[in-house]
Amino acid sequence: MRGLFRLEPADAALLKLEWRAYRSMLPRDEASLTYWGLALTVLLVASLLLFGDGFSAQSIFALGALFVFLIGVYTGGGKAMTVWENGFREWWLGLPVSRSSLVKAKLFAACGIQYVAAAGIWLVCIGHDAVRLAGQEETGTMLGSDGLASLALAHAPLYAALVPLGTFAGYSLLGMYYGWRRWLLVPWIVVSISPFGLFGILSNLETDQAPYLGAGRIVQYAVVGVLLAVLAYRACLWLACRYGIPDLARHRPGSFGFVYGQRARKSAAVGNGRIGTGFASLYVLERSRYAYWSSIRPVRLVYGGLLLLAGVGGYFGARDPLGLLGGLRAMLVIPCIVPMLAITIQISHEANKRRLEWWLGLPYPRHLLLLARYIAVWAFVLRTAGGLLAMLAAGFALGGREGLDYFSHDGRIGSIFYVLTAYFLCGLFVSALAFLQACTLRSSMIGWLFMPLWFAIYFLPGTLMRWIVPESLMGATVGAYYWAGLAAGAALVLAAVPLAIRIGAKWIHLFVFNTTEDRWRRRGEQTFKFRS
Amino acid sequence: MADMRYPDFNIPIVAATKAPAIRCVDVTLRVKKKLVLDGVSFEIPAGSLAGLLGPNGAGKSSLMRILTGMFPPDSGRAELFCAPAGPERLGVLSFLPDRGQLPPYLGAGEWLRLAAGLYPDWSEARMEELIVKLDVDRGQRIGSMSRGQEARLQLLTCLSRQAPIIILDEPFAGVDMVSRESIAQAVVGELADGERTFLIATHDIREMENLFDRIVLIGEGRMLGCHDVEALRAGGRSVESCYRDVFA
Amino acid sequence: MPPIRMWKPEDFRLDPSRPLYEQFVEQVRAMIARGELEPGTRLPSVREAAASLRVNPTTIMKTYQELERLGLIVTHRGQGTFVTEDEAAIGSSRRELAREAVARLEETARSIGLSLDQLLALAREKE
Repeated sequence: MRGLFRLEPADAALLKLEWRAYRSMLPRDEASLTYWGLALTVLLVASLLLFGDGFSAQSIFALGALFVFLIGVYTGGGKAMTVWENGFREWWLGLPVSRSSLVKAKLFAACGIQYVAAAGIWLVCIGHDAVRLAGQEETGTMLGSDGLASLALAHAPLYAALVPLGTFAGYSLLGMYYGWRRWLLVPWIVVSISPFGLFGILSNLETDQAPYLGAGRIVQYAVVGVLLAVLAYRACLWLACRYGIPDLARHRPGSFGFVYGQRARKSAAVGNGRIGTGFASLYVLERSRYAYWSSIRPVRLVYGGLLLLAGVGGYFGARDPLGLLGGLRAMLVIPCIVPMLAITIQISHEANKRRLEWWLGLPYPRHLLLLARYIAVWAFVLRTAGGLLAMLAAGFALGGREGLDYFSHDGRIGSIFYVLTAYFLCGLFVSALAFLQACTLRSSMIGWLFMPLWFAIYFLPGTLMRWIVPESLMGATVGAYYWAGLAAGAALVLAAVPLAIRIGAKWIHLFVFNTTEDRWRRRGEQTFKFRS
Repeated sequence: MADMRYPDFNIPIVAATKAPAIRCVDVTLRVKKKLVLDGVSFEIPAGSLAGLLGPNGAGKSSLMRILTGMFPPDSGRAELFCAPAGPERLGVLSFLPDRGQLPPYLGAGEWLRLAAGLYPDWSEARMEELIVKLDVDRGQRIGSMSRGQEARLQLLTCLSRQAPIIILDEPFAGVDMVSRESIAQAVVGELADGERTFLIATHDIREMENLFDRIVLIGEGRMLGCHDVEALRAGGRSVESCYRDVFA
Repeated sequence: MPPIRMWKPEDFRLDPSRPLYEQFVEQVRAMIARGELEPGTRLPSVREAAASLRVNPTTIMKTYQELERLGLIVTHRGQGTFVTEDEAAIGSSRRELAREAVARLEETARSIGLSLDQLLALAREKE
């Protein structure tokens, strides 16, 4: 264990180099302190507004822990994704130190900055609970047996363990770009998305139902977290050193020679049929991305496996229809989030920013470009999810009469329709918000303030669903009140989506200006004065 | 589907030749406080092949992005055939972005089939001709192409359109010599009709100087000259010596 | 129809600080004078020539106009551009070239204080 975290002298310099990249984010002068203060305040207000009733003090802290973990996963994963296009990559690979030193420095520096973020979240959680408790006469229902102080103290080590766990897990993506390691993407994606599903569970917890969120338990979790972090550290180092760095060295920026075969199979991505003109061809262009990905073998195999799983799940679920419905409800968060994630990656991932200029140069009004992208991702998600649902239903039907009988009474079948529609609408709404991301580039101030909010948006489906699809509705007759609400929601979404697309279209070009390279160039000019 | 094309993508060329194809009047642009373009003004007559020259970071790409309607200037006017540039004018121009990339998962042939649908002014005949000239392999996946191969495919896409204005941002960056020559050849071949106007930003002055009939020099966002190349030569100066005089 | 004489960039030596069409005219005249371009040879079109030489088509256009004015090439509508078969025109062009060469030589002689004859005599003098 002692040799695990040892740093050679050369490593210290390397660590300094990596740390330098994050230093500008630290709260170290008046301006950045103001940013942090504002960002945390925004987060606090948002959490007070969003996570009101139904959340106990414990679940707020647990929510914070989810945040900390997810920030770790996405920072690590994001860094692992951008390093492929990083201009410094080849210099970095050429440094005369061992591979593990290169990776370690990145890992530790990433952990460092996130400790700051984790501390911020911890403070927000304390603030949230303090504000809520101050407003309540009876503290018992919200707080349970633990005091706020003991809860906060118990969570500190948990957060401290989750930071490296998330970061290492996220960074292990570095080794998953090529070869058989691409299979590891499946568990990686599960790890990075499933916490969003936990959110739904946390939101409906009563304190007495949740002894496992008590202060004593949390400390135990922290110990488990530390052990898992060590494991993740080992795995991440092994993957990155053994595979990631050699892959990086062979990778040519912007090219995907390793990922894509030499020859294009006819009609894999575009199809053999006639391609229309105008909007139809724009749509084919957007669809081709998914068509290509779903035509490659590993993806087909994974999807086939999932279909089978859905069928089997439906078959056995027929014995417990209500439980199946609950599980379905938790799973539906995923198709809500995926389109948003896909759109975000398509417009803001480094390599895709370079493709943006061709795309924006197509002779069409910009909102049509965005609309085509939006429709294409949804067509893909609906087809994929539809296949899984159909398998589930088929399995369910074969599973026996009880299940079918259950849903044939009291208009329960309507509740399924209600749940599906509600999630679909919610997903449509949230994914359109992804286009608004372009606005945050208008000034660095807005960007900083929105960074925590972007994270919160991923929780939006879960939050909205607490109101729109409460537990009590599952397997019951859906009242007219809810149907009316659904109709109103549909109207709202129909109005909001075009608006978000219009606004996004207005600012989308800002991504062209904001490649990492451009940003550094500008930042450099603010620090140094070049002679003219 | 209703016709989504812009009504003016096919400006009558005969009428247009009278007017300057590209005109900038006092174009100024700031990106986050930094002055990127500072009062740039010039004119490119229709039918000419103009070079936009300047060192790295001079603002060439930003200027081209304004002309292609990626974003508007903060002040001043950028005009194509006497009407302001903007996203709705993308039909009159064909743009090759600097270090831009096409979807890597498509084969070259797949992309070209798509492009034929995407661009209302696509010419199938021209494409076939250019495929031979630029030596593009339709079966190859874009993601597996070398830089030179992809640059040729991108240029092929630009030139297979019939848009009257063609704007190329660094068509030679990172491209091997043979690809450069075939790119330059293709550009000249397109120009000979006298119907199209080219604006080309490049660092490769030696490869291109015999092609230009007009050069626009910008440095640090400012206009540093706009010359007729034959007039320069009549005065005993080459494009290269003029560039050196201005920037060295 | 006679074969086309295509040009490659290596066929010409260009000085980028002098008008290009002037240099093309000079060098094509020299090619015709020394018989490298035979009378009746078909020349590439403006578009082909510009593309293969990688110069602006206007330059080639001007070159052809000038050569045509000198009577060295002729354009038959719908058939293309050819080196003239009029020996008299070629002869007078050669004479013109000779005169220009002599004039340059005289210029050189004057610059070192000699007449043309003196210059030639001095150059041929044995050590």
